[in-house]
Amino acid sequence: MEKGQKKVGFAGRLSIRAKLIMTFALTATLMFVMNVLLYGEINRSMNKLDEVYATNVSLNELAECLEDIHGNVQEYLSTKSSDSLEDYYRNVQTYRDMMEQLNGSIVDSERKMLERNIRNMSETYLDLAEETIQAKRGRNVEAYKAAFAEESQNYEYIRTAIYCLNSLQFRNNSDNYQILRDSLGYMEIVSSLVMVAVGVINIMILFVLIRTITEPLRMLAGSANQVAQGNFDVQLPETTSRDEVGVVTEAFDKMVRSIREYIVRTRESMEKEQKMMERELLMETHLKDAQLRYLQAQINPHFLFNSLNAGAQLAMMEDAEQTSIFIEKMADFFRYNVRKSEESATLAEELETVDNYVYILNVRFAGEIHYEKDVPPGLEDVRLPSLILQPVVENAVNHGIREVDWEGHIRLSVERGEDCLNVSVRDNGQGMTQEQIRDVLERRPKAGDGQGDSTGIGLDNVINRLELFFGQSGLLQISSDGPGKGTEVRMRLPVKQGQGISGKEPQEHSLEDASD
Amino acid sequence: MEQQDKKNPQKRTVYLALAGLALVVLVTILGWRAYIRTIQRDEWEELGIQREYKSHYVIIPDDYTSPLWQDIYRSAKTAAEASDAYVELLGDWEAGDYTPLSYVDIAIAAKADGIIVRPDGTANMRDAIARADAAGIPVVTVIDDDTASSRKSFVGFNNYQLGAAYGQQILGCVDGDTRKITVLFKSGNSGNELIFRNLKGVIEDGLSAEQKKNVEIQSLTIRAQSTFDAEEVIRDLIHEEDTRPDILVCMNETDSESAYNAMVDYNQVGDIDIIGYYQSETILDAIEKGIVPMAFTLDTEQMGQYCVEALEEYRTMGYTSNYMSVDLNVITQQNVEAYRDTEARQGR
Repeated sequence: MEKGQKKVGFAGRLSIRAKLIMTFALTATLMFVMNVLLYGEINRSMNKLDEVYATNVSLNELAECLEDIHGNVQEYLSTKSSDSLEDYYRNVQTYRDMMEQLNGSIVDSERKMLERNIRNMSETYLDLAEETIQAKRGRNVEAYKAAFAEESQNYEYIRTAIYCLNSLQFRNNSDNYQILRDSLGYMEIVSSLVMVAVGVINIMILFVLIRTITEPLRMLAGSANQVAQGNFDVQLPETTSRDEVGVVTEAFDKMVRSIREYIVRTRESMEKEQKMMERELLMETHLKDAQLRYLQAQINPHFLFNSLNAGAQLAMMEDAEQTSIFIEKMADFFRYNVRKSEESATLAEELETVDNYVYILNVRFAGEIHYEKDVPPGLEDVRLPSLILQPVVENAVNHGIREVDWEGHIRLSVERGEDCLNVSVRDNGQGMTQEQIRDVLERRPKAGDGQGDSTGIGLDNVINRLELFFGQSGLLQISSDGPGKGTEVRMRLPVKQGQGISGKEPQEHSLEDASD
Repeated sequence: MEQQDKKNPQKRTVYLALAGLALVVLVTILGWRAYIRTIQRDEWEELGIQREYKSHYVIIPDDYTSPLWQDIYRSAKTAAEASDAYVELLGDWEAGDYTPLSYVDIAIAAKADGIIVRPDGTANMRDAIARADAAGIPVVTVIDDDTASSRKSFVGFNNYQLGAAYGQQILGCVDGDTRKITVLFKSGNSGNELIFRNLKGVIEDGLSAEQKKNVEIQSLTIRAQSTFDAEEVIRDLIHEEDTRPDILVCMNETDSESAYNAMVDYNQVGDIDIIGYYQSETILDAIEKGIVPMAFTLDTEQMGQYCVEALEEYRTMGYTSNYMSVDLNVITQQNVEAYRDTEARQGR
């Protein structure tokens, strides 16, 4: 088990190239070894044949030498020349040397036994020849004649034996040739079979090997297709090998993971943007709504402002200073409303508008409204959404103190809080029930609302714009102790000191400034 | 577990590859072995290392190709194997056209350790045996004996007994129509006379007085000048009506076959009873068909074996028994199958 996994590890570490090269090298080596064996065998057979032919050649030499010896003996007997004797001894020596190469042992082989017989017969012959020579030297005529006859007989026998051996060897050789031919034929078959087997197994190994290469590729392609269809949660094939495919798979895996992450991030940011755009659109809608209401009342603002200015000048000329101031404030109030199409205004501007409004109302209602404000210095430049304070004050007038029998008071106070500005508008008017408060805060339209003596911006509009502007809810709270006990509207404006208001920067493209 | 499953294909691949390699190696080895087996047959062994023997005996047949001698040679070779001796059947030197006599000389010159020969009864053969003896080579005679020679032992059937045995069998073939019995001998065997005498004696003793008058028993010794003379003599014998025997007794395997063929050729089947010699294929067929009533055969198995045993004994002990008797068998239609089996066993 352990070993097997180790092997997997080893195979896994190999690159495709190495695997292929290894497979081919292995099979090629096998083929090579087989061929070496086969050709080695052919060579062996050839060498054997050579050997056999070599003995044939030496047999012929042997026969010639024997003939020489016999000739020498004959010559010596007939001439008694010392030359022939000398030749005789030399030839005998040569012959003995050659005899040594013949087989001398008794073995189960016709050829070798014949060799042995020739060897032994030759010894007998040489003994007889020697005997003949000695007899001749001793001039023993009878003896050398008899010995020579026997020697001649032996000589014939040996010649016949050599002839037999030669023909036997020739027969053997042609047999061997046949065997060699057969063996080459068999070799052909065997080598063909082995090659076919090696080839088949080679193909099998290659098939398996290639499958290990292509299978991950196929699986990778499948995964890629799934990714292409939008499924980024696809399970990638496990890669155990460290070859090229393994590397590609890993890279692909990394890519898919990073795409997945990127998609999540993009989705998040898109969602954020979507929300922001929605908010902006809503804000714009509300602002437009507010402005529209003003515009509805503003048939021709320039004409109105000019008329009011003309009225103010007329009042001055008539020394009606009060009227002049009144008309002037009227003009200021409406101008502010029209001009302030921008989202944000300074606290000072807002307060001034409230002042103007209260002044106008007091003129209208003969100073019935007692308005106080408590604003700590240094907050004039704090920026907040425009047209916020006036509607709240207007609400306090219209729904708070307008209908009461007692003297109406409105108190506007601004407090600096931690990271925020607390604005409170309190009246001592007719108060509100909890149900009314809830209705207002949940922005349920009331019957007859928005009609009559109003500048047109309702409390619900203010609440909506505050929420949009600051991106928080619950910034406006209403409290009342009940009917006849007055009402307090508190606004918590999360503005930072010296930084204006937090939240969105003023929009550049708002409604075109209506003033001038 | 899952991890293991995922690794499995890889592992399987490695195992498959290893198995494939093993298979390739196996195929190569098996193929190679098959090749070696098929090719390196007996012929090659002659070129390799062979068993070495201690002694060398020579069998000199009078007919190299005859199955009789081949059988003797085979059994001698088998027997010699046990005592570490090699037996050579010497007599096929086509180049020389030598007689057994020459081969005895050759065996002496070749310094054989023992000679097995069928003597032809000539003085020359006796001299040759004496030369061998002088050279320290023991000679064993087989089938026929030459008691006058210096042979160390004789393996075969005693001539006296042989004649008697033949006589007994011939007697069984004699019926009312039998007029002439001819016994064929090859010239040169000193025992012929003895055999014939015994044979004739046994037959005559077995016949009634009336039959004795009618039946003529004669011997015919073929004086072979050359190899094919015997065949011509036998043909003439069967062809000529006045010489044609009713029972023809052959004392060697060649004569048996010649007589049989001549009988068939001259359409004399049923008229002549041939008493054959030796279990050659032709004779066995003829016996099986009932054309030839019987054939004598010496136990070649015993002959070969006893020859080698005699030589071994002489070489180790310095003496051996003078005469080793082998069984004389009669092949008839009843037991012919057994001889066929023997032949089949010997792979002929």
